Amino acid sequence: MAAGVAHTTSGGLDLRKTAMWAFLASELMFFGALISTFLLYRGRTNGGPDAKELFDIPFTSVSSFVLLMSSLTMVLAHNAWEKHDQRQMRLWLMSTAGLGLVFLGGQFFEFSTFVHEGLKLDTSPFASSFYMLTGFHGAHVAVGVLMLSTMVILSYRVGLDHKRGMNVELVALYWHFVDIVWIVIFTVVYLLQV
Amino acid sequence: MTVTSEAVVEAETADSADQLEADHLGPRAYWLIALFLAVVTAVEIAITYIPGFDGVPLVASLIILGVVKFLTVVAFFMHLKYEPFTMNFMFYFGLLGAIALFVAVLLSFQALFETF
Repeated sequence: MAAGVAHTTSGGLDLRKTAMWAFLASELMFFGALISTFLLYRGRTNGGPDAKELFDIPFTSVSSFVLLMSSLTMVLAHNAWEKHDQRQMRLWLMSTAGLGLVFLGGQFFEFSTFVHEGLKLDTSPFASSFYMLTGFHGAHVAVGVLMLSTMVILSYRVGLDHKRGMNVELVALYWHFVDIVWIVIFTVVYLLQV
Repeated sequence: MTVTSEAVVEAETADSADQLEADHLGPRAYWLIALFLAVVTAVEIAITYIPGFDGVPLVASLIILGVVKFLTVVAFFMHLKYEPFTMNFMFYFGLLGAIALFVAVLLSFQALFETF
């Protein structure tokens, strides 16, 4: 099928958007499994450091705030795209990617600190489940940053008009999803454990 | 492109932008929603520092505030509120699946009530 041709279901729904919502629903279950595993193993520290000793809530709160604000910049980028304002859209897309990178930097710093304090991937079931959960989330953020950067490059090279499909909208859905998963992780993994 | 067709495109763009403004929210509303989310996050953090406020009340408060943030982002930033039933069904079905998985895993290991 040629690019730019509408992809719709027999009911008139946009196929790519429908597929994205289905993908996000499956991702919810993926993260649900990881969060359940973390809660199951959070007390099994094998004598290593536990959440109370390690977690720095003020630091993680700043990271959470950064990711929350990236959802704002993303929705503003989406809004600008809907209004065919390419310049504003690029600005907000770049801001979102920048905030995503700040969040990733914070996570890298946090992981480095934890490893320095004796929490390695194989230290305990608590450590493994914590790194798997937050690491997978970080990987999702990194993929999101990559997608946002691609959008910015494409907007300069070919433009992101409505005929090219709903790329910005799909990336926005993915990015907001990454944010809502962090809302759950921040509450369940960080705030409830200290 | 002729002047006339450019004018038509501009008019259509303006119309669709107005329509979107009516269907979705505008930048001002998005900033206000972000402010609301920031305030809820600040409240979440603050209540964990209140001496004596722990156990079930703390857990319940944190879960309620987390759910409020989650649903606000889904409804307004992801625009699910404005999407057709099918997309709402798909997403919330996935969410229910995740919750069911969570309960099943923790019940299997008899850890549900020790979790919080």
